[in-house]
Amino acid sequence: MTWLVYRSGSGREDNLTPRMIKDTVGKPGQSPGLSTYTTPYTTPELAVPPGGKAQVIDLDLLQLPLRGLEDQPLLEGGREGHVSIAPTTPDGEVDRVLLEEWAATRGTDQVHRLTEIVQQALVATVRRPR
Amino acid sequence: MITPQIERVADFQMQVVAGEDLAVSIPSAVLGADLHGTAWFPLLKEPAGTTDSFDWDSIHRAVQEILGTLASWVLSRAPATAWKSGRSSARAFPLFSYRVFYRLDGNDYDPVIVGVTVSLEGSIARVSGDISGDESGRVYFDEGCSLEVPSHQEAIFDAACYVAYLLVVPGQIVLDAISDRDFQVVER
Repeated sequence: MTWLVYRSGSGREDNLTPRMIKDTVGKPGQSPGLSTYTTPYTTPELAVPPGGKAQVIDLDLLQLPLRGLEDQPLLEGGREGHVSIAPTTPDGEVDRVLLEEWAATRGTDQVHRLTEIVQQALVATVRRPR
Repeated sequence: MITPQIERVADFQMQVVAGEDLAVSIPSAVLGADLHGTAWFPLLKEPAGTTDSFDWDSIHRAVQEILGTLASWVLSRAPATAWKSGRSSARAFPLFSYRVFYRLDGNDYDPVIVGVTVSLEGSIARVSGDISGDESGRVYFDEGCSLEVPSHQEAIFDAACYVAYLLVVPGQIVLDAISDRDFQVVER
């Protein structure tokens, strides 16, 4: 069974790379990383407008060190259906040094190997009905 | 079907049998005095176009040449506009050729993307384009910008150029989008 998550916007490298600070600092109940959702349109945070685009990522196709980390919605900051894609250490913790290295390439012409891993797991582009 | 002719490669002989199987005969001289045999392989169907069998560079160049007229138009109206061109690929699509136009207020969230995407589905290629927000996914324009064509180089090239021409026409939409003063940053 595949584990699909959705990220609003284009399939461009920048949109598949986390932002420094915003995506590299976690909060209670939520790991830092590239934000995705298990449902494409139902969460207001995803906010794909009618007719809008989202990229579909198959988490089972992600190669290590990247993993999908689900929020703990019972904790403050955790959101139901939110999944962070982040590099992890062998013991399962977020590799913050590597995450920041990855985020530092956003907006540059350099494509980080972790962005390439996400691209290889990007299996479809979907549109929200108008 | 791929139909090889009977031919000999070194000491191996290949022959199509009943139009369905490829028999490869290996003489005893190759395997040793006590061994000889024939291996049977089903013929493979002619493969559909694969990602590697297309010249994506030429399609990207053609799309960029057309989108260049849009960039010129936008710059003639708003000379301070920052933009760049690029291409991307992923498992779902071998080519996404685009131009990025950044917001005039300097906000780096959700720049406007004008791009053409090609995806392959067996013998069919889907060529689509839109003007949309890079992060929000908001689509500003995509009217008539989705085509399905045979998965052949020329058909894909022509379709990609056609879609790119459609995207060039509504330049005002790009200008309005990057000038949007009511633009809201949406947290995700």
